[in-house]
Amino acid sequence: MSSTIAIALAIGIYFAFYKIYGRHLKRQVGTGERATPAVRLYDGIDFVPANRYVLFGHHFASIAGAAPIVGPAIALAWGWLPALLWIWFGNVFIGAVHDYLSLMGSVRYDGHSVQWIAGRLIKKRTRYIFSIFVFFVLILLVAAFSSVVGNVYVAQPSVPTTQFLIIFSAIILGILLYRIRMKFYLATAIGIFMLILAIFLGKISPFKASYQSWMIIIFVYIIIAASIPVNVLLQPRDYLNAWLLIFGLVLGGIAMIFSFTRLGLPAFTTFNAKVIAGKSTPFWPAIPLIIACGSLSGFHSLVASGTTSKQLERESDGLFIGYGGMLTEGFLSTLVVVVIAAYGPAFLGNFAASNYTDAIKAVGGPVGIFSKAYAEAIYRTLALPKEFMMILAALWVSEFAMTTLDTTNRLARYTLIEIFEPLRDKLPKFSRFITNRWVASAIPATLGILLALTGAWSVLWPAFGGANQMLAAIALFTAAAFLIRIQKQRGLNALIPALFLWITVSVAMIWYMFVCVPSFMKTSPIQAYIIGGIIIAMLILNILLIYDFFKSKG
Amino acid sequence: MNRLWKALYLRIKFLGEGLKRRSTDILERELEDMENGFALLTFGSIIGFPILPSYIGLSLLPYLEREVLVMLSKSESLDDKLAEWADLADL
Amino acid sequence: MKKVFFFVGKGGVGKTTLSTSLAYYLSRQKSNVYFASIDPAHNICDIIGCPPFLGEREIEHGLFVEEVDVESYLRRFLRKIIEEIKSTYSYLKIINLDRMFEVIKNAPGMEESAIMHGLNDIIDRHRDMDYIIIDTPPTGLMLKIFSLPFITGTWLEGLRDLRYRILDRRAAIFAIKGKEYFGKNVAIDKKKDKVLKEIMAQKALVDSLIKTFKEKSIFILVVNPDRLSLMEGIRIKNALSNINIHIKLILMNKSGLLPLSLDIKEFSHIPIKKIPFLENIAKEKIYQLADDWAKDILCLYPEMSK
Repeated sequence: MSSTIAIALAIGIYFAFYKIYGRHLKRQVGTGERATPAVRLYDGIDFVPANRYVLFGHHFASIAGAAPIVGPAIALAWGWLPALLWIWFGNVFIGAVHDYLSLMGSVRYDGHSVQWIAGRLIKKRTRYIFSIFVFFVLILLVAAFSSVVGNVYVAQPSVPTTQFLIIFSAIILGILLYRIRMKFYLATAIGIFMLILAIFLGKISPFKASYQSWMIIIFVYIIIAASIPVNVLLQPRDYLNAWLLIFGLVLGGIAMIFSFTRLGLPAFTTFNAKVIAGKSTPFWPAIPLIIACGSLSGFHSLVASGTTSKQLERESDGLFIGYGGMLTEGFLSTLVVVVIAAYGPAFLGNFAASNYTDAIKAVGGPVGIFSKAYAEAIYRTLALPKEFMMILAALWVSEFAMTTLDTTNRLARYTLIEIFEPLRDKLPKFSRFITNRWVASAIPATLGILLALTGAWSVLWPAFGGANQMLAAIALFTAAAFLIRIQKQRGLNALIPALFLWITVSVAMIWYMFVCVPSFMKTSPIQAYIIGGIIIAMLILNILLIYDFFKSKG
Repeated sequence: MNRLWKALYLRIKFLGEGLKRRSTDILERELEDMENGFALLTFGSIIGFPILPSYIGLSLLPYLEREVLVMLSKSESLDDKLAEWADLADL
Repeated sequence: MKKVFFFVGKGGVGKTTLSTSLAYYLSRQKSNVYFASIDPAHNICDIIGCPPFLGEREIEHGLFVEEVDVESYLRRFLRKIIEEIKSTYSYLKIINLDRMFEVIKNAPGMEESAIMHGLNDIIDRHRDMDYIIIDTPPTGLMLKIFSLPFITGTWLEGLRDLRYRILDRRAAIFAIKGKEYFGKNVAIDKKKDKVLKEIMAQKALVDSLIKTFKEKSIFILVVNPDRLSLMEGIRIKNALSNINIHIKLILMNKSGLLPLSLDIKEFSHIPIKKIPFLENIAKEKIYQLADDWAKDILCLYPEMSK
C-alpha cells in the first residue's frame, strides 16, 4: 500500500460519508429554517453569529491537540490497517456523529451544554456523573500527557530547551500584542520568527535531565501557570500553537500527498498486540481507549456545546463545523498513521511484530517515533532539514500538551464546584476547602504527576482514553434521547453508537481492571491503587448511567 | 477560474480571522468576567447585596450599558459554566 | 474659611441650642458665619424663633442659616441620573424610571449619601465665609454620614483599579480585533471613559471632605449630666476616633440638673466646659451661652483670632 493512496483513500472516504451520511444525519436533526440561538438570543457577548469558516477554524483549533497524534502512534502496534479502519469508520459512524449531534442538540437547547441537556433529558444526576467523569479525565490527562511529554524530553533533549525558549517567546509576543499593541501581523511574524529561532537554538543546546526531574518540573509549572495572568503566557502561547498546528498540518499534508512510499510497517500484526501495560491487548475493546481524538473523543461534546453552538449562524453550518471538523481531525490522525507506517520502520530496527510498543519505547515513545518519522517524511519529499522537523513534530505534541495542562487547573475548580454543589449546605467547611482555588488545582496536578512518575504511559494513556470515552457515551446517549424523544425519530444513528461505545468501554475497563492493574501493582502499588480506584468508580457510574438512560426513556 | 481563486482567498481570509480569535479568546472571556464583577459591585446594593452605597451605583449606572448586558448574559448561564471553559482547554 | 465646627451628641442634649449660640457669638464678633443643620429633624427655627423654613436665609448681617433640604438633593441627583440614562442607553429601553426611583430613594444608604453630598456642597459653596457651623443629626445617622466618605473612598479606589484593568484589557483586544468588536458606546480610552470620570469625581469629593475633617474641623461633643448621654458620648468619641476624627471639646449642657461627678477616663484629655441649665432663655441672650467656652476655643486655636 502506498502512502499516497492511503491518504487519497482517507480523503475519499471522509468526503463521501460527509455528503451521504451527513445528509442523512441532517434529516434526522431536521435542519430547517429555525433560527439559531446566535441569532435568536443575540446579546453581542456570548451569542454572536460567526461566519462558518471562522467558526470552523476556531472549533477545529479547539479540538485539535496532542491526542490525535499520540493515540494513533500507540495504536500502530496492531498494524496500520486496524488503526486506519478505526480512524476512518469509528470517526464517520461514531466520532463525527457524536460531535455533530452534540453541537446540534446544544443549538436546539439555546446553546446549553451537553451536560446541562443530559441533566434535563435523562436524569438530574447524569449531570453530576458527567462532572465526575470530567474530573477523572483531568487527573488522567495530567498523568498521561505528562508522562508522554516526559519521555520525549528524555529521548530528545533539544525539545525541552526549545519549549523553554518558546515560553519566553510567548511572553515577549504577549507584550508586543497586548501591551505595546504592535500591528497584529507584524507581531505575528515576530512570534513565528522567534518560534523558528527557538527550534534552532534548541537544536544546538539540548538539556538533559532525568524523567523524574521532568515530572517535578512539570508539576511546578502547572501550579505556577495557574496564577500567571492569561495575557502574559497562556493566551500568546495558545496563539503560537495555532500556527504550529497550521505549519505541521500543511507541511505534513503536502509531504504525504507526494510521498508515494510503501507503508513499511505491518498492515496487521495480531489481534492481541502488546499495547497496554505490556499485556496482550485485544483490539476490540481496547482501540477506543487508545485512539480517542482523531476518531472519537467525549471532550469534544463540551467544546461543541460550549461556545461553538452559541455562535452558529445557520443550522445548516452545523454539519460543516461539527461533522466536518471531526473528520478533519481524523485526517490529521490518518496522516500520523501513514507517516509512521511509511517512514517509521527505519528507526525501529528489527523488531518482532508484536513488540512495536517496546520498540518505540527505545526512541522516546509515541511522540518520539512520530517526530522521527515525520522529519524523515518531510526530508524525503520537501528536503527540509531533518533535525529541525523532528523538533517541530515533537513540539507539536508537547506544546499542545503544555497548554492543556495549563487550563486543567481552572477546569478542575469548576468541576469540583459543580460536583460538591449539592453538598454545600450539608458539609460547608469541606466544600469550601475543596473548591478553594489552590486546593482544587492542586488535586489533579498532584494525583496526575504522582501517576506520571511511574513513566508508564502505556498504562496511563488508555485510562485517560477510557474516561474520555465515557464522556462520549454520555453525550451520545443524550443525543439519542434528543433524537428519540424530541425529534421523534428512531435515533439509531446515535443509539447504536452509544450502546456500542458503552459496551466497548465497559468491557475494556473491566479487562483493564483485571489484567493491567494487577501487573501495574507489582511495579507501582500506590499508583495502581489510585488508578484502580478511579476505574472502579467509573465502572459504577457507568452502570448508573445506562440504568438512568433506559429508566427515563419513555 | 477566477471565482475559484476568490473563493480560496475568502476562505483563507476567514481562517485568518479564526486565528485572530485564537489570540484573544481567553482575554475576552476574562474581560467579560471582570465586567460582570464590576456590574455586580456597582449594582449589588440595588439587588440586595449590602456592599456599596447605592448612591455610587446609581451615579455610574448611565454609563454601564455593556457591563449590565454582560452581567445579564452571564447570569443566564450560571448553571452551565463547565462547557465554556472546556472550550479553551485544547484537549 | 478658617474653621468648620461640628456639633455632635445624643438626641436632645442641646446640640442645636449650643450650635446656634456659637453662631450668634461669632457673628457678634464681626465674623461671617454660615450655620447649617443637616439634621432631617430641622429644629433651628425652634431656637431662633421663626417659622419653619428650608434652604438658606440671612438672619442678621453676616449670619446665614440653612436647613438643608435633603429631599431636594436626592431629587436633583436622581433626575440627573434619569436624564443620563435616557440619553446614553441605546440598547436597553428603560421606560418610566420615575416610579422606580420613588422606591430607590428609600434604599439603604441613599439618605446619608444625599446628606454627605449636601454637606460637601455647603462647605464648597461657602469657602468665603469665616466660619461654618454644622448641627448634626442624632448619633446613628451622624456616624453613618461621617464614616461614609472613608468607606466610599476605599470602594472608589477599588472600583477605579478594576476599571483601569478593564479598560486596559479592552484596549488590548481592540488593537487586535478592531472597533467593530465592541460596538459604540463602549469606552476603551481612559481619557474618554465616563465611568472613570465619574469615579474620579466622586473620589475627589470624598477626598476633599476627608481633608476638611482632618485639617479644618473642630468637633464638639455635647453631653448632659446623665449616664445615658455620657455612655453615648463615649461611643461617639470612640467611633469617630476609628475614622481619625477627634473630639476637641466637650460641652456638658444642662449641668446642675443632676448631681454627677465627671470622672470619665475616655474624656480625660479633652477640655470639658459646663453649661448650666437654664429654665428660659430669651432669643437675644442665646449667644451668652457661648460666652464662656467660645473664648477658650478661640484661645485653643489661636489662628482663629482675627
